[in-house]
Amino acid sequence: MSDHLGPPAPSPATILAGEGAGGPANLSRRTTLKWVIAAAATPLLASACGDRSGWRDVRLSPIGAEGYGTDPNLMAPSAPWPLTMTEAQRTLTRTAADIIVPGAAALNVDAFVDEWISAPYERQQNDRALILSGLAWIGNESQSRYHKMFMGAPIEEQRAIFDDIAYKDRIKSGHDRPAEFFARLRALVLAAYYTSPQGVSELGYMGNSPMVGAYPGPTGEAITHLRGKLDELGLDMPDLRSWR
Amino acid sequence: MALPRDFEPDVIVVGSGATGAMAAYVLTRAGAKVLMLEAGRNYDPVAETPMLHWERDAPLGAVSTADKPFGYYDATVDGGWEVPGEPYTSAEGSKFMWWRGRMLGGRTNHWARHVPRFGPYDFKPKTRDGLGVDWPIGYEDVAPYLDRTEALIGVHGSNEGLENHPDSSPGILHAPPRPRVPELLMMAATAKLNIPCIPSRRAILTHDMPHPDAPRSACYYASPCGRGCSIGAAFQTTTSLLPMAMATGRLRIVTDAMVSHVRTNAQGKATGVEFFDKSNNNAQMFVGARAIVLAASACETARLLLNSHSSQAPEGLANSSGQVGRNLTDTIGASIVAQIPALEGRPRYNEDGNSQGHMYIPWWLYKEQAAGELNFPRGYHFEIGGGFSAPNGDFGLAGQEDGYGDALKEDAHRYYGSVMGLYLRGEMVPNENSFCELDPDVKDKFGLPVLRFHWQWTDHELNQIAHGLSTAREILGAMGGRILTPEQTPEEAIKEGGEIIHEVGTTRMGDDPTTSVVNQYGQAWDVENLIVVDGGVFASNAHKNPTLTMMAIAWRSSDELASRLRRGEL
Repeated sequence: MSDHLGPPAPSPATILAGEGAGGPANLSRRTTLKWVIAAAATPLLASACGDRSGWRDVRLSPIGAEGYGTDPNLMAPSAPWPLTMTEAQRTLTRTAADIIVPGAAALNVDAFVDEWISAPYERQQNDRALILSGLAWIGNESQSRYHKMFMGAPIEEQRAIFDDIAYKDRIKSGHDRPAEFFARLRALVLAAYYTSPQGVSELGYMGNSPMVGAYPGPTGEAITHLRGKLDELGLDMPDLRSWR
Repeated sequence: MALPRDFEPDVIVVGSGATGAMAAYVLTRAGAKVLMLEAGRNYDPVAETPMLHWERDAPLGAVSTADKPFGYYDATVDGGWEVPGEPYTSAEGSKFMWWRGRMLGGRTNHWARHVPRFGPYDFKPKTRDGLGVDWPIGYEDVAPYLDRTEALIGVHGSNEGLENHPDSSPGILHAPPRPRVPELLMMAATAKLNIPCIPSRRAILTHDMPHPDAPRSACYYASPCGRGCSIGAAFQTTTSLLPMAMATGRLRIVTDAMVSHVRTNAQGKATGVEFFDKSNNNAQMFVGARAIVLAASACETARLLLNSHSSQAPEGLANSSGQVGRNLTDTIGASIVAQIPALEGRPRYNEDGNSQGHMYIPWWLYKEQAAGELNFPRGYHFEIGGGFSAPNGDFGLAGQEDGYGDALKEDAHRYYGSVMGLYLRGEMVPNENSFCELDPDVKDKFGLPVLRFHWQWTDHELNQIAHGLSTAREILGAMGGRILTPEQTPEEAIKEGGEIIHEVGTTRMGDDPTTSVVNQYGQAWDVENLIVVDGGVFASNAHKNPTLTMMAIAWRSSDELASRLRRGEL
């Protein structure tokens, strides 16, 4: 049984990690720069061998909240654990999410990310370390490249940071950890976006809608499309007479 | 829940799942008074099933967690791979996974309702290949009960006349739902390879089943079956057999009653059961009856017998053969997933269907197996997955996620619904290294010794997996699929013991009291008024999902018990 600790206070390490990592969002540029320089001067702290991205694993106190248990109310679902992201982390997530999936910011996807990484389950806790470290990395990267907060950087500069880590076949050398972070954040943003009513509609999911009578099967349009694909594959259309 | 007053049961049934509910249904209709004890809480599927809730409304987009391994909306209550306060252990070098629930209706509330029929070969495996044991009964003994069970629970499917896949009697099956686009593609690919692909048999109604006490509606082709089914389309005992048995006025159900011991007298007859009343600070209770029916699930029943040891039965009740807990088998499982370019960007339509596979691939190489052309003795089938399903917190792009921005959104649209999976479900041969026993040290929250599992696959299973993996790759290849599952050895690909949740065999039936625990009617050789009706009685575990056969045999055993009660034998 876990105890009932509240959300952890930001530790010095998370503040050191800079923008979006738990510290106040309005740190002065000079202060932040000083930290970045200090960090750069102590390469032994770098987290991974061969890392050239300046990645740092933020230190986090474990989440102490309870999960929803083995008999939650299925009719009125709710997540009992407190959200743990700071306002700065939420804002940065929203900004990044909107670049990853345009339109995501308007759908409150940062709330999904916050609920996810605040959940007291092992998989979500592993994601928490990755996502919070990654948000901090984005902030530091923006500072060291552009001497600006990521949120205040022009879209071209924001994209330039993502371009180093977003494409499987051209990840910048030594940037494996930021790339891993990006892939995980992208997955969470995709999930948040495409589970929303707007995402479901854009995707074209048409189910969860009770029908009367026999299941009609594919539409004529869907069958015609399949027929074309079967021709390309050298396969024959199955005989469906027994269903008529 | 307290014991009912002024109710002296003829029979106590332990467990309210597929077989316990069947026993209660048959016995009450035959005039017996039945007290059912269920370890879990009361459960009302009409009030508790989130039929049309969206994934976004559940924590984490409804994905699997340790608390709800099959996702937030899965019907399972207080269970899954772990039950709080009720552990189990695996012996060194073994791993076994044991899915349990603690709720009225047991695992019938969430199962996949796949109910292929056992055939003649499946009851006589030793005669066919020399391995394991034959059942003391044959297909012809069970066939009438299979018909009756299918008619009672409602099964959709078709009669295909295939070898060892018997047809149902005319007029029983509900019409199967039409195949969807991924299934049509699968049918086309398998046809080219001369592999059958036929309508699945599912315990899901495709026409209404009116009933004064348990009316059930046809499937409306929404709402995943795993959530349970408040309209009764997908079979579960809580919307069917239990209300039907209650309507006789001869059934009482006590929930939150964890049975701990079967008590016997000096003559070796069972007198009743002891249980912990979870609703009353785990107070220890006793209730007596003329006969005891065990339907707690194969492993829980074995545990109950082993924990019911006494000076007369030091190795456990009904265990003079030493076979209680032995011969444990599960279905063999493995899966291969592929991205199918032919399914990319295809026209949208409502592809929910019955939320389960409408089609499946039954075992087809009986002749080759009989001729000794295969290096494994028993068969398997493939279940088929894929389609436009509701996005959840694990929404992905078929492994094709890359980049960001508008191009990523285009990819999401393009790859949605383009993944298919083949899920191998195979028959395991019982072996002496796969069994359960009482753990000498570990006890549960009631102070009862827990089960310790021993598990080992043999070449029979691993060779079958190798064949299945290569066949699956061939089928998906014929569809132009890009295999996403990494190359695996059979040892890597095979699921854990217990993971397919078809555990049976721990109190097997037979003709010989020295090598079996119960006779063909589930009566314990050692205790004449103790009857096991759950999957523990299976003498072998055909690859065909076991619940239908389990229920048919439970019906047959309950008929026999009812006759004995009527004759005043007990």
